[in-house]
Amino acid sequence: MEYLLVDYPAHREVLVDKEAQGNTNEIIELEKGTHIISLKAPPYDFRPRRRKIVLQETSPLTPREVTFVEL
Amino acid sequence: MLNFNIKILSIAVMSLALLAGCAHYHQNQPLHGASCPAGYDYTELAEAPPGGEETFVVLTFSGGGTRAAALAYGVLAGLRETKISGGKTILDEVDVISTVSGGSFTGAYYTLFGDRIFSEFREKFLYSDIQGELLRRVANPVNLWRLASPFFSRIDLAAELYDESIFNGRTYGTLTPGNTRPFLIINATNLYNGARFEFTGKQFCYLGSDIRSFPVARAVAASSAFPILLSPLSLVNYPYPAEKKITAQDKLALKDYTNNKRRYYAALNNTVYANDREHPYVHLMDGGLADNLGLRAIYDLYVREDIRAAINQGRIKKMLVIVVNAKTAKKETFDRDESPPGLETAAFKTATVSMDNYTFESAEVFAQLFKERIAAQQSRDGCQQLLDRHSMDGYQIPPLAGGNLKLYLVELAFDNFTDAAERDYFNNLPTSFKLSREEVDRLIAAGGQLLKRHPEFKKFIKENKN
Repeated sequence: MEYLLVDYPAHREVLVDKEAQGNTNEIIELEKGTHIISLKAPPYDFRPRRRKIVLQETSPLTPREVTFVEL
Repeated sequence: MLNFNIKILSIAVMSLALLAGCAHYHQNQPLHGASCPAGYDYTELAEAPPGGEETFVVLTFSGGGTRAAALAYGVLAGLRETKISGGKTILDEVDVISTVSGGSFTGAYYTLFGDRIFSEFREKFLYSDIQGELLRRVANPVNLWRLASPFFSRIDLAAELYDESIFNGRTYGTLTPGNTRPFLIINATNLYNGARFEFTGKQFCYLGSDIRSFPVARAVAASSAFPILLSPLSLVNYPYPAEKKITAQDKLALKDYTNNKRRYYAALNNTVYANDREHPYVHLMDGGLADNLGLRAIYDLYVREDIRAAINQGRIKKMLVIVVNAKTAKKETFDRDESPPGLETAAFKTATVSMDNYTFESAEVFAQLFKERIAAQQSRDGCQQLLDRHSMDGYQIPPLAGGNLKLYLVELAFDNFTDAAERDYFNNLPTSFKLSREEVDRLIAAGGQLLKRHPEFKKFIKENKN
């Protein structure tokens, strides 16, 4: 398994491939591979709207970090 | 007089020919405007009462004819006798049952009829000579003519028998209202690509089909269509908008050939149905050809589907997976002879070797997933402890989504018996749908014993009693 950390100032639900998978600022365990990361909306108060990443070669202590900026 | 006899004979032959021509397998129905999946999908069941999934229990029942069905029944009985906190039994907590072949009879019966299984199932199925009854039906002249139809075969006759004598005509539609647990996943194998095919609303969505009118007995028949002895069971793959047949996840996973072949091939197998012109029909055989444990379905749920989401959303706190494996290790003698085994032995081995070969591997792959999660929790917590001890800035490592899970994997197999005589007895039972009452009773008792003696199960009980 691989590990993702979504940085965002507020507590929000994280969408991975359009499915709710955990929250911002926690380490989310996911299957290795290509994923589209976003935040549950509305409100659309974040940028970018979504990020496409290849999740691989991570560990619980070195997760892949994806940052969303609050608008 | 001769003319009259010829006329009678002609009418009889024409009637029977007509009967044969009319005989057709029960077709799955297309989706008519319903959203996809139209029913019997795990996500519908996910709306459990608050805390309903906190202790998440999964059962997998392997193939192995009546031997597997009886062993699984024994495990269900054992779970019913075992109480945990809140006065509940572990059986009350079962969320998902994934079944293959012989195990599908037990899993389907329990899901359809609940506790009635304990008063009905022995006489209705375990003690009965199902294969003898099937042979009698095959030999019936009316059925012989029906079997002459290219659209009706032995598996359809078997499905009719199971429907009438075991499952009372129940369809998946009867499982949908109320969304009661456990969620049943009956597994078969798609002959075209050798992929696992599950009887769920999600899988039927790929066929553009509505599972609600589909008889559970036909799913069980497909799951237990043992190669050569029974014919494949056919389904129609209906035209349906491609954007609904290929999910967003599948589209992404199709890019992952180099990154993650398991994910890529799972998506490839899902999307084969999108080409309904090239694949207008699906022919299914015994689920054991793809996975004889029923564990691959749970692997997919855990790694990328609904169990993964439930863990990451913090709905699951403890997970107990009980794998009931009725695999045998019959002593063979053919390698004492210089001349090779005959056609019958070779055919039987060809049909079963692939089923048995990877059961051990499937269980190991799943065990590794649990170990990986525990290791992730330990390394995160260990690192945090070191920081707390040696760092002054109070930095907190982000928590793992879902928190610290407690995971228990219980593998039940005849090889778990430490007594050699007991082990040999069970390992030499045949794979058939006819066992003696004594054999069935011993298998039921074995299911309960294997369960209650298993160290991981004992640990689960200890940690979940008041």
